[in-house]
Amino acid sequence: MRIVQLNRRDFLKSSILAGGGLVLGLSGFAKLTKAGADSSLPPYLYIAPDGGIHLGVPSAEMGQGIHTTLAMLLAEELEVEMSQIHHIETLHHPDFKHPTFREWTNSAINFQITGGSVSIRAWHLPFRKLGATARELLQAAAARKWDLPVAECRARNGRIEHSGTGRSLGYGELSVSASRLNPPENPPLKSPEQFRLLGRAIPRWDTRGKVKGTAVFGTDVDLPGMLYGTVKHCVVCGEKLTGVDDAKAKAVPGVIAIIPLEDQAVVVADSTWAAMQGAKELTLHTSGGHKDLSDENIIEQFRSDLAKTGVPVAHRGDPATAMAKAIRVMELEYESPMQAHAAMEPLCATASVTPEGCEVWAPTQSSDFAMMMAMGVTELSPEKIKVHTTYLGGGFGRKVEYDFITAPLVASKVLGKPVKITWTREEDTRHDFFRPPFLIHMQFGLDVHGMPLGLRTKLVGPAVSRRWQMPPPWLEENGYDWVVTIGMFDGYNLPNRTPDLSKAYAIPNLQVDFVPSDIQVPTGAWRSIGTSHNTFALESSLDEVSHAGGHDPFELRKKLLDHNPRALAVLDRSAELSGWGKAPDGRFQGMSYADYLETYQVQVVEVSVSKRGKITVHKITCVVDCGQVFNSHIAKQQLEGGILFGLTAALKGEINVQKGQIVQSNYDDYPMLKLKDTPEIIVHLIENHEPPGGLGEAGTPLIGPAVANAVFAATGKRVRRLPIKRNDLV
Amino acid sequence: MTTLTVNGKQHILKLDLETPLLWALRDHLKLHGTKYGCGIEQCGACTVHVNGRAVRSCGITVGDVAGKEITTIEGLSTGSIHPVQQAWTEVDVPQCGYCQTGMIMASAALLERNAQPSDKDINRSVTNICRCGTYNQVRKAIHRAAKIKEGV
Repeated sequence: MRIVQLNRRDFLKSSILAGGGLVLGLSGFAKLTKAGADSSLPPYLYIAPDGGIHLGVPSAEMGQGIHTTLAMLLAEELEVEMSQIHHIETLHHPDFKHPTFREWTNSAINFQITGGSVSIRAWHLPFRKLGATARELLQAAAARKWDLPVAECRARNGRIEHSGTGRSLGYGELSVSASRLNPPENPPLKSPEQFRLLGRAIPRWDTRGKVKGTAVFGTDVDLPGMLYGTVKHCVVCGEKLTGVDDAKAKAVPGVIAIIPLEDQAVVVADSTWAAMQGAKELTLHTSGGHKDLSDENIIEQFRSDLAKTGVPVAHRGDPATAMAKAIRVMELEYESPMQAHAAMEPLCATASVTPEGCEVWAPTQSSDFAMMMAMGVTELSPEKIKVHTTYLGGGFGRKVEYDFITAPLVASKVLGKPVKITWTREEDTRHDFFRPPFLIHMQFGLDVHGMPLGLRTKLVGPAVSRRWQMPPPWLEENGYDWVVTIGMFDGYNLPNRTPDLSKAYAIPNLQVDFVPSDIQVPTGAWRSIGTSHNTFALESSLDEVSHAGGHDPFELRKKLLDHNPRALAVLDRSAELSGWGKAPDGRFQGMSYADYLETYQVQVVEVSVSKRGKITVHKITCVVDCGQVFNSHIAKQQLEGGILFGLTAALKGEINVQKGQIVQSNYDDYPMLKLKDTPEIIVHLIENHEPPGGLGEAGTPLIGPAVANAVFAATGKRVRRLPIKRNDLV
Repeated sequence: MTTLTVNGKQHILKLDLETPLLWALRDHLKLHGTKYGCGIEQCGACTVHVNGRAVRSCGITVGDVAGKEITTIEGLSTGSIHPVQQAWTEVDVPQCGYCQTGMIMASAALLERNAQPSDKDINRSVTNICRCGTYNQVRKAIHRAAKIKEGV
């Protein structure tokens, strides 16, 4: 990685930079494209003459606090307080191709993208180095000005100070002279003991705007002369539009145009409400579609595919012999249904297309995908297209897709005016890329001590990556798809495709297979991807094994993870903090463990179940070792949020399909957990300086099995399908 | 033609009286702090005050609120920051933030009629949906706001 001094002249066009100042870019961890080299591109660090710091970051802010954390990483090394950060935005930039995805895919995935809980992993060092480079330049500039040795000039709180003479200069005063110096190759980085900001619960940078109502989300983009619109999709999965009957829709006051696309029609009007009314009155004529599709035939397909030979995922020892030697063999089956993302902000985007250029404003997890859609629709070259990433009102994997970018681009191109498209909640729910449904079969062979000697497991469900227009390199011809197998002895082993079992449960004989069983409902990435269904199956089945073998669930896991000291520490701490085995009268405990993205975690829940099957979750204890924590408040928010996301999926709704149509449509028939349902949640972070693991998704997969295991403790009824339904418990 | 009184200011709007207040605020008055989440009064992202009471603005029409005092998040704090917004900032509640203005409006209305709400009161009154899971921080901020209002 190299820090380059960007050519300031090119930025003077922009009014914010008119006064001159220090402008830095990064290079080397992302190969500069031709467009980057001509530097008509914005800088991502700009220190203005007033000392204010303006920061462009690669990652979209969707609630995970990444703007704040990246700014902290920079501010730590730059020796400024957070109050000196005047501006942060997600910047679409060729330098911001995601290094972790590139590393995992031998550069096949080379996009600016936010997802997979890997923003911090990818960007923490570059942003520290960026801050340190600016600090060194400012120190050097001050030393020159004073004609003193640079070693005597120290950066502190937004100023360079010289202790001997008591002189000091603000960064703003030094920014112009600093911009004339050459950046150092390897500026020194602080050691963790020297951190002022990192690790602490620093308030979020975005809170003010979000509390005042001034934060601009995708739905809030407002341009002069803008038109408003919405979309209406064909209702049956796979249907295509053949025509529309739009007489009634066009009669709705304010409706301006109806534009048919492949599987949807766009309704444009002078207000969003008029467009939504118009869409109601619009009749779509369609052809094709999978009208016979239902939950029943999906699960039938899975059951029949269970007999097929799968694609190998992980293998160790001799599972066949282990099963033959086992004194007891347990056959267990778990099912997870589809789930929608249901982000609070419905899908939306705005575009302004003219023959000369195009701008897109979108709450997108991938500005590069938005760029590609814009190039496709407008046929303009990339330098004529600008993508702006707004705040996301939740993403959870849905907004990494780019389907919602099409309608505003087409509508603006056709109508010659800017157009903002907002989906209705009903369209958002029905036309999601859902969490894939899965059927998982587990066969355990136990030895004389009740310990698992062997495990054979088969995962049956769709290979979701197969749908993507650019198949990722982890998708193999035989259907192997890491996105859905991760979490079942299949960690982040890309791109070599050799499962790293060194930290996994020490079951000596192991065979994990995946039977790809594609369905006609669109599925995609849902917070925690494959770990979601796989942790439910693995952690529920280990609870069953514990009971069958006469082991405490903690003791069983400790024996199986004896080789993994970080896991053992998390297990010990969580047993202690949760008061394992000492639940108050009438309450029952359940636990689960997972290691996901180098984050080791245990969740313990306390539930009670009424005679009529009503589950009350009273308390959740979550103990996490995710390596180095940079902002403990945001880390806890992410874990708590992830837990409640998973708890909603475990206790509330599911997505069903009947006659080829999605049954649910809004928060009334796809209910969410609310304040009254929210238990006490204790999150404990184990402090260390290991490399940072993932946190954005980590909380989600463990809570379902932990609750299911607690429900078993309370009722003796084993939950093998989520969500847990009252009727199953009475 | 209708007159809406929003945040103390009168606006004359040429609108169908059946237009939901939400869309009049967002598209016509450009008050984007009030959010669209569901359109069926389930999520509360569009919560505003009508004559001091928390109302989901997607389920009430422009015709319904003519002559009434409407307050949106933009008008919640008249001078310095409103105690609920202050408490929200101290607790640092928001994640994605999309539901938060509605949550704040619902909580501010609750504290107007119940200065010291219990946890049960909060459960009953604040039924907004947050998909990021800020609920426990919301509860903490409401208790904190009650203290701020009391002058503690």
